[in-house]
Amino acid sequence: MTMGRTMTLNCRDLIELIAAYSDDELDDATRAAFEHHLAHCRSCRAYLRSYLQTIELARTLPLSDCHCDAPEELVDAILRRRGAGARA
Amino acid sequence: MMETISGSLDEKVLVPRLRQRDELAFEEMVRAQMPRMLRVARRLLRSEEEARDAVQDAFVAAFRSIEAFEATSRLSTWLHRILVNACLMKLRAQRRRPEEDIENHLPRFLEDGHPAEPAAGWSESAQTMLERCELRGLVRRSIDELPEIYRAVLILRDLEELTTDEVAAILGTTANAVKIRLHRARQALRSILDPHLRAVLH
Repeated sequence: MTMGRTMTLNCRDLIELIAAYSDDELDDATRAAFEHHLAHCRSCRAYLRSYLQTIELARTLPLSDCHCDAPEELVDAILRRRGAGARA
Repeated sequence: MMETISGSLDEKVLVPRLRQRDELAFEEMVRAQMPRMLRVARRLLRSEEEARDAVQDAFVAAFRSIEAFEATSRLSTWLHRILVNACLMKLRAQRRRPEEDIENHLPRFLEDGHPAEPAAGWSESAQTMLERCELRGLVRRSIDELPEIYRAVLILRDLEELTTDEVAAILGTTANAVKIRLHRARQALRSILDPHLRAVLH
């Protein structure tokens, strides 16, 4: 990926680095090369944007069943099974 | 800020009590960890009944093998490891057809590194898309299409927002393997969603 003093990335390189880029884990030289490629490549800009939208879709996806609680009957069932195991 | 799975349990106090088979300590652990455990099981499994069974089995197994718990990891991470393994075993037992190779959902490139097919944007924001009921269903079904090991990583990292290290400990793998699988899973999910989300624009 390194050519002379400046690094250049192709589309394949850039897409491999997207996760590290979005987690801010790239070193300065790689980040500069990433952003340089991005500025000149419409396809990679579209890919990056839809990749980030994919993460956001997953992150904000509500559960279809929204009872994120501790149902009392389930707590009871576990305590009963544990009690039965302890006595066995 | 990244949420962790530690909850509000004071594990230093709780673990010795669990090892002494303190009934009340067990109940405290169940009540503190249940909401998160149940949510993870509901995301990984396909029915409420299966999710409840997996959570029940995981707590009972944990109490039986509390001596095996090593204090070098968090109790909550250990519990999640037992739970996720139980869920993955259930999923494997139910699998009716071989999983699709994740490579089929990854972008393809020409020899010079250009994409075989240029990417097109999705013009709506994720938030706008999720307001539509049918799109929430589409995202859920698309996540379900991922091979299990990628699906588990995506659920634990992106939906449950656990840290890379926590997910690595739960799945018994390295942080680097989690990063690689997560990137592949996101790429595959993007690729499965792409034709639908391009299509809704027109």
